[in-house]
Amino acid sequence: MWQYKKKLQYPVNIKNPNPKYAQIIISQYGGPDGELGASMRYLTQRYSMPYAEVKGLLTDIGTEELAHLEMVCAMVYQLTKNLSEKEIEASGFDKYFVDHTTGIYPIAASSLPWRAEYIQAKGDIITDLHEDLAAEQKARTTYDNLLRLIDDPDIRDPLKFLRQREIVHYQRFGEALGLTTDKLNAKNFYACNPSFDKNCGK
Amino acid sequence: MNSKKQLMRRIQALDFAIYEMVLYLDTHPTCQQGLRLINQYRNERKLAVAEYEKMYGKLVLAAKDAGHGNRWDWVDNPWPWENEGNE
Repeated sequence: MWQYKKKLQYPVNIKNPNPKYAQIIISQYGGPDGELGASMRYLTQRYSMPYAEVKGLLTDIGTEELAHLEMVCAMVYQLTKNLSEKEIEASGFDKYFVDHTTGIYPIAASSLPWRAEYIQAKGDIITDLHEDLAAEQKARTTYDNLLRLIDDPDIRDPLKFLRQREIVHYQRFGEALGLTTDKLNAKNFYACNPSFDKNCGK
Repeated sequence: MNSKKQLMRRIQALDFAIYEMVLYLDTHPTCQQGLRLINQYRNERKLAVAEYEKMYGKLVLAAKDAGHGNRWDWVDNPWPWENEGNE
């Protein structure tokens, strides 16, 4: 089970609404490398994990990603507060507005809705951890791209925090991969699948 | 920023430090230095919460800690995505 904590992991307090920025930041909620996909990926993959440390890590990073999607949604929420119809039209936010008003719906910057195809649970610990390592780098690149386009320090500050977390998660997943291969035949890590085969490993 | 907000910031920072240690310890479960550090952060958090509660009353971050007064204060604004909760 989960318990909710009534606070953000890192504060978001954006003073100047900006629907143009909201439309690109929302990608880190419902886009191909966003936080919703990250959370679902890790919380889904953990069931077939053979090693205790990796079950724990996927549970805890998957949980942190929920806190991250809450931060991204808070950013989009604050960026689209108190808009006039004129501002909605001029910023190009009208296409989102017509379907969702200012509700927060998981889509990519390109407007594609979130899809389960963004994630995989392959049932093979080596394969899944490689997906996780790649996912953290893809998210890091997305934050880098957002930081190239956005100059408001109120927005950049939480974006930089989230970018940094991708790097820490990448580090931890790398360690998880090391723990995994340490348990396997060093001459052939792929001799069997420890997520499926019994007695697989040294 | 008044001292209530400063104290809240300190608790938030310690919660972050504790969570960072959780992830580290997941892949280093026998690291004694890591275990010492997470316990140090947990003690510091306990002290910060005690200081907060002495001055401002029960800290309600989870529903299980709410409702000790004469109303169900869990529902009180601000919620975390609102500016007022992050000033």
